[in-house]
Parts: sequence; structure tokens; C-alpha cells
Amino acid sequence: MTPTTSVAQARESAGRPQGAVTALPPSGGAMDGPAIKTHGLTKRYGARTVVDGLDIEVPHGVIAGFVGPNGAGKTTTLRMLLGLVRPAAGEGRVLGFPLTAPAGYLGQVGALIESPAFYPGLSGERNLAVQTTLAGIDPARIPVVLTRVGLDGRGTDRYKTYSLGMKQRLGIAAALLGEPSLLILDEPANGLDPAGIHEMRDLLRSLNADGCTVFVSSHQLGEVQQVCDWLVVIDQGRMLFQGPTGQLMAGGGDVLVVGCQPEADLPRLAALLARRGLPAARIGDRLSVDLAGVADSSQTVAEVSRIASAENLTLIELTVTKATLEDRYLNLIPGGPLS
Amino acid sequence: MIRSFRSELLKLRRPSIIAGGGAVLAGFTVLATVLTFTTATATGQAAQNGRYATSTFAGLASANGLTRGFANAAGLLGILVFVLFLTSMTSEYNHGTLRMLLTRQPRRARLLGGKFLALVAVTAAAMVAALLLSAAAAIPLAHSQGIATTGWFTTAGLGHLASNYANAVLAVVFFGTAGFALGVLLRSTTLALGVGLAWLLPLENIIQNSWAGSGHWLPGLLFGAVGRGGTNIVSYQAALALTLAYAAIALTVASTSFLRRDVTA
Repeated sequence: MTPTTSVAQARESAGRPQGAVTALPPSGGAMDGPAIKTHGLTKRYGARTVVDGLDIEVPHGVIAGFVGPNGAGKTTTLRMLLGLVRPAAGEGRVLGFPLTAPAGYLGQVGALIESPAFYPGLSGERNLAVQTTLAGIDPARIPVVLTRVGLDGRGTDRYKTYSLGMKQRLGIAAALLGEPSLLILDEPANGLDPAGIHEMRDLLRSLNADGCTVFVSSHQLGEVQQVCDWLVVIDQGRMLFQGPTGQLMAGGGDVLVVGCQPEADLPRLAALLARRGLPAARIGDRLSVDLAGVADSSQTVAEVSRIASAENLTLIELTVTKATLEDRYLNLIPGGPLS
Repeated sequence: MIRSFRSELLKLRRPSIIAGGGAVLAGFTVLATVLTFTTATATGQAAQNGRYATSTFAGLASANGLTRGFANAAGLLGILVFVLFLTSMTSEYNHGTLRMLLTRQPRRARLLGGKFLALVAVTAAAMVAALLLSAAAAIPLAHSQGIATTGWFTTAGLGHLASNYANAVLAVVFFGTAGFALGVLLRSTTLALGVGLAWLLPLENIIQNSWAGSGHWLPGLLFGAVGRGGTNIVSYQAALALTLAYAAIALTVASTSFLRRDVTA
């Protein structure tokens, strides 16, 4: 499933305003193609195929979520995109440059792969200085990125004294050093407290608004649903879905929950709804109306309200429960829940 | 490669390395210098059965005497440099920092080359400190043994000082190269240190005691011979030629592995 969709379409489909769409990065590699595109990308370790013929396409300017169970091949895929691991087969391009020439694009890519990796005996600032020196980045960026991730004032402390959340923040800061046009993050919210996760969400949106494409792997599906306008879902190294988040979310599963008082009126209400083509199942002290195939759930809510009112039934609940990304995801993954 | 070199220097300038490495370097240098002077006799003793030769009073009073202790320290300092080079690579794997480095400098040969050259530069600087320390210790030791020092501060003495320094640096860098290659190939600090130190310390000594030709072939013995400007077993030129060959092989194997291997740490 590899639909061709523009950033604006993806945003619209995901429920995010068109106004949030920003200009694409002005220069660098071939910016007219997708930010990331792979074809048949495969990695094998011995007899085990970890990534199996992945065809990924991440448009420029989106926040793309990379989702899959543990061991699905996400980190190996990200490592191949960063030139750390050599594909066994297939090909790909990042920012228009082939995977075989990572030096062409890594200067425009910020990355955090797995846990943050720094020198424990060096301060946060010195750790970042190692990277700016190595990459030829202006060291004046160090205080800027430390402030951006909320580590200003702690930069001179040794890395080994940092909490898990601070280490994660330093990892994000390092990824931002080169003012990347593509950010590749592997579980960036690991170790962050709720406030930190909220800040991370805002940070990703802010970076995206500045023109940065973000490709982020995460198990926190609630976060992915809130932040990402593009999704890539894999399992056992194979692609299960890719496209706008809204496209996956439009796949049905929303329900209308109806409650009335007294509870004894529920069967009569169910019969009335059934006669109007709205079959309802009783679940405990409520009725559940499946909204699959319903384009505008508010029409159905109004209809149920009118039916109840006409029969002098007193409604005490009338709630549309949206299917979550987790529901969709669990439907996609063979075998069910997240491992 | 210059950026990689400078980046590595930033890491090597951390206080734990300067303090820890400096203390061990000073300890080894002074120990070797003290032993050189206190074990000296009028006739000296030739190397045999794994024992190093001892100096003569006349030898220590010659133009070469000032740095004789320093030259003898090269073997001990070589072990220190071996550990430094080895752990500088294995710690990148152990801390996972190698993946960070390679996303900043994907040209692996440049990264490896800059790192190696930075280690060599730091080693050369540290050996200057060791040379000065050894010389500072040698003067009072010579006076306490009644050894004349007038020959040390001559043009010939300065020439020996320069050549002994160069040989000692070469020797310890050869030790470092072996550590560097082992670190790249084995990636684990424990495993690489275990294999390397087991070979350089007990195994080479055991082989040396049972095989007369070992001094011509075993790398650790050859590195030490280069540091001392040759021994009565192997000439300086022969030792240098073979150690250069060993170093070239070690660096070729290590860099080939580094360039081709997936980074999964």
C-alpha cells in the first residue's frame, strides 16, 4: 500500500491545518523527490531476514511515524538509512542521495538511534563539541540546542550525572546541531516524563513548522497519532501500511455509545434504532451503534437524539468513541497486541 | 581527517585520562630510570633467559647515559599505550558512540585515520613529558652512584637524546597500533585486553625462554628492541623493518574490517 499523497493532503487527512504546511527545505540534495525512498530494502543476519523488501516513501515536510512491534526491523531500517548497516539487497535514497553514499546526505540529517550515546566522563557541552568538531558545525549551535531541549544551565555537568530524561534531551540536542532538514529519531520519548513528552511533541511540531521532515519510530501510539501526519507500519520486516495517518484512521471502528434512563427502556430504544437502519448491540447498560461506513457521525448522533425524543425516551449518554491508532494498529498487526 | 583528529583530541583531553595516564606514565618512567641506575655495575650483565641486560657505569657515563633509563621505560610505557589505543576503540563500541561518530563522519577511513593520528600525537607529547621526567630523575641518580654526567650535555648527548626519544615513540606507537587493531577487531574491552595482555606479557616471555629465535620474530619483543635502539639479539634495522611490517598488516586488517563491518553497537 503505497499511495502517492502530497504533504498538504496528508495534513488535511490527519486533521492538521493547511496553514501548518511550510516551505520545503531550500537546498541540499534532490528535494523534488521524497525525503526518504527505499525499494526492496532488505537486511539479513545469517539465515534470519530482519528487513524484507521494504518500499518506504516519506514525503518532504511531514512528521512520519515509524511503527511496528519489537523486533519488526525498525532500528535496522533506520541504521541502513544512516549508513551504519549495509543492506543485503534493495536500494534507497535519502534527500535524493543514494544510501550507498551517506556522506552526501548525513550533513543534512540529525539522528538519534536507540539510546543516546555519549562519553560519560565528558560534560554535555563537551560531548556536543566532539560532534560539532567532527562534523564541522559552528560550535555556537551548542548553547542554542541545549536551550531548545531545556538543558541550558546543565551543559557543563558530566554526562554520567544526567538523569535518563536529560540524556534523552541531550540526544535530541545532538540531533539538532546541524540544523537538519531531515530528523531521524528512534524512540525519542524514552525516559521522558509526561511534561517532557509534551515538550517533545511541541518540539517536533516546531521543527516541522521550520521545514524539517521528521521520521520518528515510537511505541507510544497515542503520541504518534497526535503528532504524525504520515505513517509507516511494519511487522517482521515487511510493510503493512504507509500513507497519511488520516487514511489509516478512516478505516472504520468508530462507535456511538447510547445510554438511557430508565435502563429498562434500552430494548425499546434498540428496536427503534434498528427500524431506522441503525442496528445497536447492548453492552452492559449501554447500546453500541457501529459507525462503520458513516461519513458524518454527527448526523447519526442527531438522528438517535430525534428518535429518542419522539418516543419520550430520556438519553443520559450519547458519545461517539473514535477508534484510536492503537485499535487500527492492532488490527493491522498479525497476531494482535503489541509484543 | 583533520576534523576527526581534532575531535579525538577533545576526548583525550578529559581529566581522567590526563590524571590517570599521567600518573602511570610518570610511575613507569621513574621506575625504569631508577632500576637502570641502581642495577648498574662495573661490568654489566648481558641479556639472557628473558632477563634484560643491565647497564655498566661506563655506559651510563657516556653521551647515551642520560636517556638510557627512558629507553628502558619504552617497554613498560608500551603496555600503557597499548591499553590507551585499545580502549579508545573498544569504548566507542561499548558506549555506542561509534554510531554517533559515523553519522557525523560517514567516511570511515577518515574517521579511523584521524582517531589513530590523534592517539599518536598525544602519545608523542606524553613521551616528551616522560623523557623530561626520566632525565630529571637520572641526574640525581647518577650523582648518587658516582657516575659522571659531563658526557650527557654534549652535542653527541643531544643526538642520543633525540634518537632515543624517536625510538621510544616508535616502540610505544607499535604497541599502540597492536592495541588499536585488536580493539577494532574484537570490539570488547575485556576480550581485547585479555588477549592482548596475555600475549604481550606471559606468553611472549614463556616463548622467549624456550625458543632462542623468538627475539627476531615476536612482536612485543621486537617493539621493545626498537625502543632500546636494538639489542644483542636483534639489530635495530631488522627489528624496525619487521615491526613496520607487523604494524602495516595490523592496520590493514583493522581498517578493512572497520570499513566493511555493520555498526550494530
